[in-house]
This record gives sequence, C-alpha cells and structure tokens, in this order.
Amino acid sequence: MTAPIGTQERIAFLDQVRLEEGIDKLKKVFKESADHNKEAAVNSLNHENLQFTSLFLLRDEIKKLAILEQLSERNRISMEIVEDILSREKESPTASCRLSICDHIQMVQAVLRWMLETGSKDDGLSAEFTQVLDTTASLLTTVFRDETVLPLIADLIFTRSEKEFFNDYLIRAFFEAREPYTLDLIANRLRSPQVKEANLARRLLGFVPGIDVHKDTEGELHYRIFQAWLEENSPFLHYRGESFQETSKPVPYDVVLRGKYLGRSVSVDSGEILTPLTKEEYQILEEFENEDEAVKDSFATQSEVMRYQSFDDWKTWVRRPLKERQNAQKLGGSR
Amino acid sequence: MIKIAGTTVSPSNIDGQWPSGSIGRKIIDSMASSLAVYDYDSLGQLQFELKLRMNIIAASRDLDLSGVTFASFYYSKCNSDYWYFTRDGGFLLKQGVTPSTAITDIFTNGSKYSFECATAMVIVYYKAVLESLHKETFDRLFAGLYLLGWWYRDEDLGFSSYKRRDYFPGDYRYFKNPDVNPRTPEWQGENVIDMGDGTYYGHPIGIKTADQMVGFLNEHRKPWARWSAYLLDMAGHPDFKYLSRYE
Repeated sequence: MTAPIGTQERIAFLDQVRLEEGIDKLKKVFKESADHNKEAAVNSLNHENLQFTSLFLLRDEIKKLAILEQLSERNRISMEIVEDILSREKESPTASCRLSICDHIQMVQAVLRWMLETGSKDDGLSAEFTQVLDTTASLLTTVFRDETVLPLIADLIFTRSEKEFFNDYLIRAFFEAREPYTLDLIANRLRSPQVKEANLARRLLGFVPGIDVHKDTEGELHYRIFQAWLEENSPFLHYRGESFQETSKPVPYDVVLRGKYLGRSVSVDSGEILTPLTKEEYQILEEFENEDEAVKDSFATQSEVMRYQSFDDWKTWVRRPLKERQNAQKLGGSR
Repeated sequence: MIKIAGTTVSPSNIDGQWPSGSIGRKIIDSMASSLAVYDYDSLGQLQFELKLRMNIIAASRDLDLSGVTFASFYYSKCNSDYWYFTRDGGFLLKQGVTPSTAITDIFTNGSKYSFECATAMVIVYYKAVLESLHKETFDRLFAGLYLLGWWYRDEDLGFSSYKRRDYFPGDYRYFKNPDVNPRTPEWQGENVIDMGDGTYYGHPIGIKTADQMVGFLNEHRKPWARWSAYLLDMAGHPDFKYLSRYE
C-alpha cells in the first residue's frame, strides 16, 4: 500500500490498514512511510482517532525510529505506561512532564481511558496486550476511582468468558471499584439466555444469599433476589476484597449488621458507620453486639423492615431491651 | 474435643502411631484441647486426615525444591507432553495421560512449569492426595484434571475455606495485601500452606515466617500505601472425610 498517510480520515489510516490487512501489513506500511517521510509517519500516529492497539503494535518501530519525543502527549504517556507495565521492574521510569503536574495527572487518566476504550476492541491480541489492558482497567478503578469505565470492563469480562480467555485480574479490577450499585452490571446477566454469561454472573454474585451457583434455570428469580438484596443492604455493604486468587467462592462484600440495625450508612472501605453515634445508639449497639451472628442478622433485617413500615414504631421498638424483644418473638409477635 | 463414632476420646487412646513432637501428635493434642468438636465416624477417618495433612506438608517442601518458577497467569507455562495450556491460563490434562503422571511431572520436571501461587496450592493438594490414595484410585477420581487457581476446587477436592477457631498444620491460609500496586495484581496476596512449625510455604516466596511473608508482600504495595499485608483469620482444606472413602 502506497497511499499517503494523512490525518483527515474519520478512522485513522493506520487503524484502517491494521483492520483490513492485518498486523504485518500495518508494520510494513508504517516502516515504509517512515523511511520516506518520518514526519508524516509521526503525524499518522498522532491522529486523533487512532486506536490504542495500533500504537501498541508499533512500539518497537517507534523505538527504532527514536520518535518518542515527537509523539503527542497522549501517545507518549501511553507508551510510558506500557513500558512501565511490561518492564517488570519495580521503579517506574520518570514520567514525561511537558504538562503541568496537575494537567499531567488528568491527562494520564484520560489516556488510560483511551487505551482501554479503543484497545478493548482487540482484547486477546497477546498476553502482553491483555496485561496492559488489565492493568489499565485496574489503575482506572483503584487509583482514579473512574466509574465510567465499569460498563466497558463488565462487557470485557463477559466477552472473555465467552471466548474462555483469562479473566481473574480483570474481575478483580472491576470489584476494586468498590461501588455496590455497579454490581447491577453483572446482575443483568443473570437473565441472559447465553449459558456461559449467566453461569459467570451467578458465580460472581454467588455471595448473595439465595443465588445458587448451580441452578441455571432461574435467571429471572436470581435477578429479583439480587435486586431485593441490593435494595435492602446497599447502604450497609462493606468491601472485603475477596477474589478468586484466595478462594473459589469469593465474598467481595458483606453486610455490616450494626449499621443495618441502626439504619446508619457505613463506609464501603472500612465498614465503619459514617456519622457519629449518640450515647443512646452506643448503648443499643452494645447489647446488640453481644448476640451471635445469626441473632444479629435476624434483628438487623427485622429492624430494616420496621424502619420502612413506621419510623416512629421502629424508634420505640429499637429502644426496648433486646432480650424482651427476643421473648416476644418466641411468643409469636414482632413487637 | 475429639469424638469418634459419637464417643469422646482422649489423645492417649489414639496417638500411638504418632511420636511425641511429631506433627500428627501436635494436631491430635490441639484438636483434643479445643473447645470445638472434631467429629469422626471412625478412627481410620481421623488417621486418614492426619496422613493427608502430613503429605500436604511434604508436597509443599517438594514443590519448593522442584525448580518450578513463578509467573502471573499471563505468562504461565507447563510441560506440553502432559498438559494443554489453555487460553484462560489453565493447565488441562492431555488425553491419554494419567493424572498421577502429569502431577508427578510437575515435581520432577519443575523447570518446565511457571504458575501463580493459587495454582501452586492446588498442585500441592493434588500431590498430597496422590500420595494418600492408590495411584489407580487417584487416576479414576481426577480424570480430566484442570489446573486453574481455585476456580474448580470446591468440586473435585471438596475444598472449603472459612473462619476458624483452630488452625492445623496442612491448612491452607492466605496473606492478604490490600494496598497492592495495580501494576502487580499477582501480589494481591499470597496463598500458603501452614507447615506446622511457625512457617508457611508459598510460591515463589518459599518457606517463611508470617513476618517474612508480610514483609515480602509489603514490598509490592502501591506508592504511599496505608495498609500492611496481613494473615486472614480463615483457613481451608480439602474434604478429608469424603476423600477417606477412597483410601
């Protein structure tokens, strides 16, 4: 192919060559272009619409041509991130600082998002490429707490599962976002007619009481169970960070029963109740904490239900001695 | 407390074959003095658990010396004479190869293998079970062997992990690294075997104390990390009673 490399097309020329004629042709065309006109080759890399995959595939050529400094900020930062991820060395190379440090930080996040969004189209290209995408996803969810990429990461997880590609680190990157409501991105797949998709959704949400990993015929029921569980517990969820590296049945979130009992939201990171408690609330909790887990679970759930039914009745109920309420429960009443 | 067929037994009734100071005797004494009840249908069932726990420790030492290397799932490798390397980073037994041969090969041709710490644990458990059962029984039970971290271990080994009152040699434990650097997700924690002498075996860290394990993981935290790595209070093991039926 000898067409001039311009920057006006909607799809970048290098992407077009790669997608239509393959990776080898991409490298050949780029090398020929650089031999003929290095500046035009640099411009083709700096094309606004270039996808990350093409840049990733041309990184050896970029090094040979010593054109790193001529690349756009996006491309240069991206190349530095790739080198860093694949270096296996502990120390990061010095980040480029043409931008002010504040702009640089924002630029890094934007570049990571670009790498993931455009690169995910070519997931599975190589082990190195997978590692770069996974690490990119993890940096976005853990360091930048970027929730906007979670739908894409969820899609990628299920696409990989369909293709039977390696998934563990990407699943961890998704959960590390520590946003319980984003679990809905997985829960939607409980109802999927695709067997592998529904199986993985059950496996990932198997920690929710009532979702049976082995029952593959009750997607709709599982979805409703999940929604009810999330609605009841979302303010009280604490992220434990359990992953498939440590167990075959990870429990990423647990319910902080003391928060649920008092109706006080907890920190998803620490599990601590977010607002200061009154002296009376401390006393109520002291009695509650002496009970075993099953009793606490039962009272916390009952407390949540009553609070919704009548806040005034609940206030009276929660102040009564716990043993008295236990006895009333045994006799068949709830109050 | 130890109960056999519903009757409480004292260590002196059952520790004859386990010399004083041995790991077996240590486990018996810990069980007997515990507030938890350790219930067995027969003495043979208890003896099988003790034997398997000893073999778990022995397999850990053997894997540590085998020459296997560490790799994250992206770059795992296996001996292609016996295993297919799957796209999801697992090792699938080749048709016509017996599970016992393939598992043993990991220990004898270690340099041909690279894998993560979770897969190492699974390999240790299979090797220990192989040493505890007849080879033919093992090959029958684990036909179609597939090694991929913990993903399928609750099915064929009956593996379970949960919060425990007591910990015993041969238990699976986990050092968690909550502030791991996102660049190195493989160091989000370390799967280990309790060696029964205050040390733990983890791949590739080796046999180390808890402090050494924590120190290693802390080296792989993100910049300005706030939280140290720590040992979780849960422990896991295969279903000893289920496996004892095949002895």
